[in-house]
Amino acid sequence: MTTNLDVVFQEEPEVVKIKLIGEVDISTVAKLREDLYEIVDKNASDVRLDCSDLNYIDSTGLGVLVGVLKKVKEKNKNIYITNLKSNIQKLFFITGLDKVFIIEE
Amino acid sequence: MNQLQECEKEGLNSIDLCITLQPEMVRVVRLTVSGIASTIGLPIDDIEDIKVAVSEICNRIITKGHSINQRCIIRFIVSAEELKVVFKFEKYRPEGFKLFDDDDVFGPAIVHSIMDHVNLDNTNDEKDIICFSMHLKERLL
Repeated sequence: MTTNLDVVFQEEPEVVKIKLIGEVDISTVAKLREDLYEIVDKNASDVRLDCSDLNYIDSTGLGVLVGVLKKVKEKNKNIYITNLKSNIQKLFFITGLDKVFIIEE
Repeated sequence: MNQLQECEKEGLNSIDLCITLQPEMVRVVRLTVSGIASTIGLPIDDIEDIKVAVSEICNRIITKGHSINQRCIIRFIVSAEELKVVFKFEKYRPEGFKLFDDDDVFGPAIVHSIMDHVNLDNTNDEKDIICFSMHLKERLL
C-alpha cells in the first residue's frame, strides 16, 4: 500500500510553514514524526501547521504533535495550527489539546 | 453465549471483517466502516466519528498484537436502534493483553466521548476485546 501522507514545508525568516496532506494513522505516523522532528530540529522558528488538506488524524498523530510542540517550546517558539477540518478540530477539543496548541481559523 | 452468538440468534444484520494485524489494515477498516455508516444514512459528522473510534481500537490491537499469528474479527451489527461494533481475536486473547494502557489518555477519551455505549468488560468470552455502539434513532431523522 502507498503511504497516504505528505509533509510539505517552506522555511521563511521567522516561521517555518508546514502543510500536512493526507491521513495520519499508525501506518503513517512514523513518517510524520520523522519529518516534523527533522524540520523543527533544523529550525529555531515558530511553526505554522496548515491542516487544510489533512483528512484524518488519530491519537498517535496527536501524540506526535505534542512531542513536536515540546521541541519547539524548548526554543521558546510556538506552533500555530490553521485550517483544521471540523472532524479533526473535534478531536483537539475532546483531548484538551485545543488549550495546548494555538489554533487559528 | 457470547455477544456474537446472541446477535446471530436475534437475526440482526451483521458484517464481518477479518484483518491481519498490520498497520496498513487500519485504513481498510476505516473505509469499510465509512461505507457501512454511509449506507445506513448517518450524517457525515457521525461517519467521521465512528471512523475515529474504530481506528483507535484497531491501532491498539495491531500495535500490541502484531507479533501474534492470528487475526482480529470486527463485526458491525446494524439494528433499528444502533450500529454496534464488536472487536475480538480470531483464536484467543493473548496473555496479559490490555487494550488501553494506564498512560493512554487520548485514545480512551476519544472513544468514550464519541460513542454512546462502550463495553470493555467482555468477561463472557475470552476472545472478546471491546464492543461499542452508536445510537441511530436520533441521528437518522
